[in-house]
Amino acid sequence: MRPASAEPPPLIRLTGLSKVFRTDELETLAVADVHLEIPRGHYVCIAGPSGSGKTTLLSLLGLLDTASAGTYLLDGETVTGLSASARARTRCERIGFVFQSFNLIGDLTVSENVELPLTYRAMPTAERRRRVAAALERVGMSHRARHLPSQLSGGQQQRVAVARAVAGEPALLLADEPTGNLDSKNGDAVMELLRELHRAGTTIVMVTHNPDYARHAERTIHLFDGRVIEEDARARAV
Amino acid sequence: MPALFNDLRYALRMLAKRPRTTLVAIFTLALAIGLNTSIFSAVYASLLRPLPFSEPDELMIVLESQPDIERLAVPYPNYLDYKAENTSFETLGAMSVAGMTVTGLGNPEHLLVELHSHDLLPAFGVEPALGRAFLPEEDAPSGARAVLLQHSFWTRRFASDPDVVGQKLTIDSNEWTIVGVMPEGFKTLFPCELLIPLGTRAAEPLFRDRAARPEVYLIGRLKDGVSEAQARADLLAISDGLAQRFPEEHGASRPLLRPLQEELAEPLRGGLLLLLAAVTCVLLIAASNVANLMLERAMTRQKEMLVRAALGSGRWRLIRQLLVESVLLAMIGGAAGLLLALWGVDLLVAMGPRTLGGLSGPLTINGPVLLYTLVVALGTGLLFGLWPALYASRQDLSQALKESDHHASAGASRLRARGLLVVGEVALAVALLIVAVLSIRGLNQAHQVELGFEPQRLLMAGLSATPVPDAPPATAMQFWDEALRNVLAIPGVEAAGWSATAPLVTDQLEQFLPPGVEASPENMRSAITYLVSPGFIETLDVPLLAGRTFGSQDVAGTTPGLIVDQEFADAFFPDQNPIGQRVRDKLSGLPSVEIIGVVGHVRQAGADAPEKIPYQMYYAFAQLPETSQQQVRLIFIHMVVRFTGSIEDIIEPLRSAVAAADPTQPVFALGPYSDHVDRSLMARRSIGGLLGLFAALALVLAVIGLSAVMGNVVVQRTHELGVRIALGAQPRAVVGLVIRQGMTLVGAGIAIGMLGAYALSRTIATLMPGSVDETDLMSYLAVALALGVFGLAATYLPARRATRVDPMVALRQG
Ligand SMILES: Nc1ncnc2c1ncn2[C@@H]1O[C@H](COP(=O)(O)OP(=O)(O)OP(=O)(O)O)[C@@H](O)[C@H]1O
Ligand SMILES: [Mg+2]
Repeated sequence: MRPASAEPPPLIRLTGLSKVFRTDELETLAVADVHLEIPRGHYVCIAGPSGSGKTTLLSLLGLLDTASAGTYLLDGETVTGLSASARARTRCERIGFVFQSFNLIGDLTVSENVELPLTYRAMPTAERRRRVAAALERVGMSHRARHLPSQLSGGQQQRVAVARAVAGEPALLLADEPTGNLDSKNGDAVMELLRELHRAGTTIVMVTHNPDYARHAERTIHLFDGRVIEEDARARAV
Repeated sequence: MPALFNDLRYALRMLAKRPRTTLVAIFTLALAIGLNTSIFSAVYASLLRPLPFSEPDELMIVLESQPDIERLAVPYPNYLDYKAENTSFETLGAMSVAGMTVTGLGNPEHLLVELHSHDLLPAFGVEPALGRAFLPEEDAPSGARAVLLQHSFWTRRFASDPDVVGQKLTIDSNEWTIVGVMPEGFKTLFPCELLIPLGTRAAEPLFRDRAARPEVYLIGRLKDGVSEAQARADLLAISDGLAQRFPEEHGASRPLLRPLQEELAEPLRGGLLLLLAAVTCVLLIAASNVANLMLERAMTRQKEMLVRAALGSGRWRLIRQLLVESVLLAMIGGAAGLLLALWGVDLLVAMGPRTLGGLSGPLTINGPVLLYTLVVALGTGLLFGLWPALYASRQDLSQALKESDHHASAGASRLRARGLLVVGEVALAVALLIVAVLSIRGLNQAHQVELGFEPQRLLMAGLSATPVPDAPPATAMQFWDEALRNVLAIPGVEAAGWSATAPLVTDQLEQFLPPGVEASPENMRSAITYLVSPGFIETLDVPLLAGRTFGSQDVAGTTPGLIVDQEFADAFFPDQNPIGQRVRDKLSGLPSVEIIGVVGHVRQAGADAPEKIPYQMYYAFAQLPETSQQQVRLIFIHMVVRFTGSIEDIIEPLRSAVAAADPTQPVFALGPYSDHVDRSLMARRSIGGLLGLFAALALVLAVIGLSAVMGNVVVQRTHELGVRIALGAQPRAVVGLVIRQGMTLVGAGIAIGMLGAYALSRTIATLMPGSVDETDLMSYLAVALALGVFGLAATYLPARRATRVDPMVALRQG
């Protein structure tokens, strides 16, 4: 662990975070009493067997869902108990998502998809255009800006999804099995893209089953039944 | 065949599997089809059903036209010439109508009597149910007096006595022999109760004058193989001959030949076609709603279709399966609609114009109506089934895989398809609503149009035109005047008078020569003419604008004077004082008659009817020479009474007052004058009411359809909306998104609907002049606004639901 003294507060600090799902007769403790700190600029991987709570934890980090117990400090501010619209604002300003199933909107072109989260912020059109172009450039998809998602391969779609996630220059990039629907070649390309973003300073939290990709991260958190059972940290690659 | 049977069984199972959607669809279809069946039963009965006579398409009616009037009765001498000279008709009969008084059966009763030439019933192909038709020798002035009873009169006054033939009946104080009873339901032009031979009148001056038109209508049966056009040319040639021989009387007249069926249906055609268009709109909206349901179903069954296709089912096979389902649904809806129509027809009879069904009797669900229902149901089933079937059977395996795996929320095309349906529905509802609003507004305006007289606190009573048979008119007038004096003495009676005709009740046309025009038959013009007693104009409250009205000094033997209405004065004496001017006319018996007064214009045909004859003239009946008095057609005398207090306090004293003048004379058609005003608006009011009802139904169906589609849009877009929310879209933005989508459809629908309404109401304005103002922008805007508000409400709830979409759908793959 890096020494914490004299450092600014970590980007993420979870204390005793839990999530309980209540269905008809069943109570599932999907995330159980998680304590976690992720400093700014770190690349963290979450691993664990199916059903261990990885997606749930990521959704809590991404403010898509609210915790049942515990606190969540994002950049030193508490974000537990924010209203739905305040969470929406935080999401579009500070958090970027890359989903396993890309989730591009079929009726919108590539560049409109990338522009989408920016339209939820107050931002001059010219600035928005500039950022869209830059993000597409970054993922090497500028030449496909006017295409519809259905005209792209899976790997290309995911690259567009990454562009969409980073166009808003989020402090935190969350990815849930971003390579899950891709073959190894396309998967490698997307992972390379994430590594570049990390090198440029983005904080990344990624869920993956693939041990090879997990090695890209500086740190892997193993979940089992919603609990953190093990952490292995490596020296930063760069 | 067994394959189809299998399809049918499977279809039933599929319908039963989703009972709620199935019931909603069946109910919607039943409502729309039932409505169509009901209206069609009226259309069929009134416009299409053959008249209840043998070979009815050979039956023609003959009228005459003049330059300023399209439809006139035919002078009796002309009839005799047409009859004698034509080569086109197997028989050319004639009929007229009169009011007559029957005595000797208890209370004296005033009845409508049809006068038939002896060959008219054979021309219709109708025989009396009892006894015989008129003999040629009875159809003459001096013939034995023979009368035929209508079935209803026979039942009512003779208790269906089978031995009625040969008995006597006293009509207008003469003894007539009953020669037969007509079959039940026999009706031609008038709701009469007795039939007598027309020829009995032939010696009367009115029937010997080529310039007089005592309401004689010619009805004939074409010879086999003679076309309508040939008959028309034949009559025209005869008419040209008459014009040469009688330039004065016939110079400007031409015969007008029309199929009897068309002529009878004419007054109802416009309104019924409008209603048919309206219910077709409702049906299309309902079909769109059901198409939406089916499309939704088809989408959820894509996987099933995929599997079927994979198992080797061809595309046509899939389409057939789905079509069997939709047609089955439509057939069930149609059957339920038929049940609704049984009740709808009753409603229509209660709400619709009284003349609905015309001659062919009451509305029924008969063979042709059943066939229509079947065709409509089948057509509807194919209409709403085909699109979803084509859609669901479209198998693009690769795209399907791509969609489900990659979650690039596609399906834009299917949403667009349903969007089009919504646009269509809204457009239809808007068009229908605007037309209904325009019609209802037109109706209200008609109510507010000045009639030119005051129908409130006014009462009308009918007196016999011939209280003493075969006596000169002066004798009859003694009775009318004495009755009038007695009525004026009743406490609560403010004013009273009588007239041969009265606004909204009956009319009479007489000719005059506009001043400064060369005297020739083509230059003669017609005016609505009232032959009145002193006090008639005052009693109606028609304002006196110049000169004087008739007074007690205007008695028999004094020089006739003429009172004209403002239209007449303005048209012919725009820059002069009309009083003292002279007009050439026919009735006064003078070379010209002096105008002694100008009164206000009266809406003779009612507030909403277009006025074909703008000019009006008044004569004092007493001043006319006896020849003129005899020449005018008198059906009955209209006594008008203005009263204070309650109408009940007047009616009995009025009967006594008339009885005091002559106890043998009936008083009939007694009632408030406002009844006639209401009746004149009746047909349009009932059509307006039905139109409003249908438009409201269309609106409800369209709103239901819109909100169902938008609800489904939210379901379809759940994933996309979830992604948007995950990416930080505010709830407000999501609501806006859905509402914008809904309102785009509504807006497009409103725009198209407004254009459609304009086109439709222009057509209506030509079909029924004066009934709608197609340029009434306020109505368009009001309906557009209302639809906008309803549309907003219909999209708002689904939009609210959209904000509750869980962004987790973006992470979890459905
Ligand atoms: N909405 C929900 N309602 C009830 N239980 C839920 C819900 N979402 C998740 N769970 C349960 O919570 C637990 C954790 O689920 P989660 O999706 O976080 O697992 P995961 O680690 O992402 O698994 P995988 O590797 O298969 O994606 C599981 O037992 C799951 O059944
Ligand atoms: Mg998961």
